[in-house]
Amino acid sequence: MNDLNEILYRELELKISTSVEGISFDPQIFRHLDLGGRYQEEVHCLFEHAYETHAGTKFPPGFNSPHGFIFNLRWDRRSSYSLIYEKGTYYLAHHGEVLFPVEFLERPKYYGEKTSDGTNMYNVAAYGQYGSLAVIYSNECALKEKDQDCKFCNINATKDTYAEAEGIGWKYPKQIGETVAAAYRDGGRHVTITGGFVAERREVEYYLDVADAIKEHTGLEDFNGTATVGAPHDLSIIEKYKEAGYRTIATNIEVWDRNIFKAICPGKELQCGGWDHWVKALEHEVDVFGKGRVRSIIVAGIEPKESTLEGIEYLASKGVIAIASSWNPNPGSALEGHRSPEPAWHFDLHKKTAAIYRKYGFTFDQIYDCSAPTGIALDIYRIEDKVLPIFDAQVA
Amino acid sequence: MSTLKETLYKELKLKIATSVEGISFDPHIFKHIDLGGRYQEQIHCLFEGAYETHVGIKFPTGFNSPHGLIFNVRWDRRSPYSFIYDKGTYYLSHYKEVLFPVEFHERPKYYGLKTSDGASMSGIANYVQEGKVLVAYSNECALKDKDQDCKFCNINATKDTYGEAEGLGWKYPKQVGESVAAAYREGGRKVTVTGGFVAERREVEYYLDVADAIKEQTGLDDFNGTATIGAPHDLNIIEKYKEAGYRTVATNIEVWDRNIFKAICPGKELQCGGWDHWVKALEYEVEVFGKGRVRSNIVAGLEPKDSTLEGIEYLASKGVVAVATSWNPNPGSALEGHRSPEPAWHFDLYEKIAAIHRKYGFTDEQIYDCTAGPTSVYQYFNQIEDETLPIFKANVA
Repeated sequence: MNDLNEILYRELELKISTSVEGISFDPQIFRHLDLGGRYQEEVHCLFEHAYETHAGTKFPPGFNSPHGFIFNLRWDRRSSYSLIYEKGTYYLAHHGEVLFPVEFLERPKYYGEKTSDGTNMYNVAAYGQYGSLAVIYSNECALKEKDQDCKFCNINATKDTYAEAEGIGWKYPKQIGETVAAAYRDGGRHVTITGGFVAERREVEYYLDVADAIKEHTGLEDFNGTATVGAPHDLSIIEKYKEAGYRTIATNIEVWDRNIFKAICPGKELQCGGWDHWVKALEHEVDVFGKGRVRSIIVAGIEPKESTLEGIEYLASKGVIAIASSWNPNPGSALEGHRSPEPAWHFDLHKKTAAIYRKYGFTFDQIYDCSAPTGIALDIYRIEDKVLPIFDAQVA
Repeated sequence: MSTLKETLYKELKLKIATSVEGISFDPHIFKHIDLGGRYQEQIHCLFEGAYETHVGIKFPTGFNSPHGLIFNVRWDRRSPYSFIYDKGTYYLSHYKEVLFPVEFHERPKYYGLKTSDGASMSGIANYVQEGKVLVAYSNECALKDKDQDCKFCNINATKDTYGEAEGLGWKYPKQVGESVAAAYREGGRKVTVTGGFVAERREVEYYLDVADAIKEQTGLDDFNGTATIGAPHDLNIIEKYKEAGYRTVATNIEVWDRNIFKAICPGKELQCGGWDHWVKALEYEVEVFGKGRVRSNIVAGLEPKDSTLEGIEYLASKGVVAVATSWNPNPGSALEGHRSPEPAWHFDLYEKIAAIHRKYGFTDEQIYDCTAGPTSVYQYFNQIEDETLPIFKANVA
């Protein structure tokens, strides 16, 4: 490995560590920062990732590292990593020792705009960096009514804490169309539509309406959209998403071990025909959308690593891009108080995941099109394919 | 709440925290104490509890807190808790701030004795404090041969690391009888017989031979023994353990959620008739041994807390002393690299277990008789509330 690659992998390791362990700071530290003006603020449209809630106190969503990775900012006062503010500059530190100065992420222009019905666009589509947006159409999950929430999930608790304070609610197709169009004018090029389970599984009509609205407002037939859906009972429904114009589809299995899946995702087990049907749905999605056009997330750290890797390999062999997303036992979930595995455990998992993607021939663009753009596997591709700006700087 | 109770709860929290987070120290810090002489050394007869292995370097087993709670020493260099050695005294500290001076547990005399065939008794019967002795008859588990080890367990890895270095192997009934007798002459009054799965489940004959040997060597018909066994296919076998003289029996279910049990304990699922049979075995054991005479352990932190508590409550309602021990993702287990929940999570769990034990009327004596370790956190809760800890007597005096 050459020197630059070594440096980049070290920085990537740090990205994982600060994500798993969080970063400690005084919640008032950002008073010096033009949050919601020059700099992007975190919007709690889906999950609270911080160890504690902080309603009414704005945090930035992340920052750039010296060599061009985007770090997420996850607050945890117990962490050995911290943010320090000194003479106009923020620094990331470890055990009080400065690692590097931090430049927070700039706010996209569309965050300052409103939809035609007066809704703030930042509440309609969250900017996830690298031109990728996430529209959380619903910030609640109907599984709660049956006491069947996924045990690691805090979507409903997050809604209870932040929805009123931040003015977040159900999004209408027209609002989404207008917001995505504004974001695409501003450089956006991928949008994920997601949210909690809708009562009686009525999401399909909604997704089709959203696709129509995005096409109408962006003028794009292929708007590079990902529809995140639960496994439908009737698999033929999947074709409707394709016909509506979504380029990719995502059906998150969350846990590969079929027994742990039953225990941790009781709603997905009982409302979607169980683990077998979930896998069948993913395989059918590949038939409809094509290889590398289907994504499934596994929450990494709930089950043994070899089980997660078995799932990633199996799904990849079927054409599904299975993403390992580090488990973060967050406030309000049934697993609050548990802890995610060590950062080294996650790093090893991500490296093995990226190797599986290579083995099955998934391209960077395929992964980008169906997942969060700051994922670790994508970062590994950025290093290995030398697509980080730092490589250009070196050549120049 | 009285000041003493507050102090004890603080110490109890610290006991949990140092167990879950471990204690950091230079592995050579114990060069100043007579480990294996005056002080008791750790013997790796079952599991390595430390975050790293340390073959060839002896550690003490534990120490008492200022108010008499028993703490284990679990080495973890990443912990904010640490040992400091200064001018002849060891201190427990937190972020380098001294909490209290530490006096390690003294070595029992029988550790210096040998059996008639020349085996060191320290390798046969571990002393776990408060008159309790633990015999790990086998320091390996046959589930490995089928790739069905419990995912949280490192018994086989521990054998690979320490078996030869510490001279640990299979224990013969006569060795066990002689060692337990020696320990009992010195104040021992309870013995747990345990170990990994034996190939073809041939453990019953062994347990009966061990009971005979202990009875012969101690002269006691009721030697206060716990037979720790996997759920047998034929439940009638359970009666044999009772007839052999064991006062209590233990069948550790490990995980209450039946689905997570399948995933985490594949051997217990596939070799013992599954979770349902495991529960049935425990209920049958109560019929044979009586209420409060059967123990089952749940490894706390592998499943949601609600599920563990549901299991403790269900089993307690059937007369089983269901207990929890904090999961410690140890080296060599399939879950190495995972982390146990936060200390506060465990504290809350133990407090609730103590309330369940109280609700179902389990006495301290029953819990003492059927558990392997020294006073557990859930027992301390009730002993603090009932003011039955020795420190309360000292206060009155």
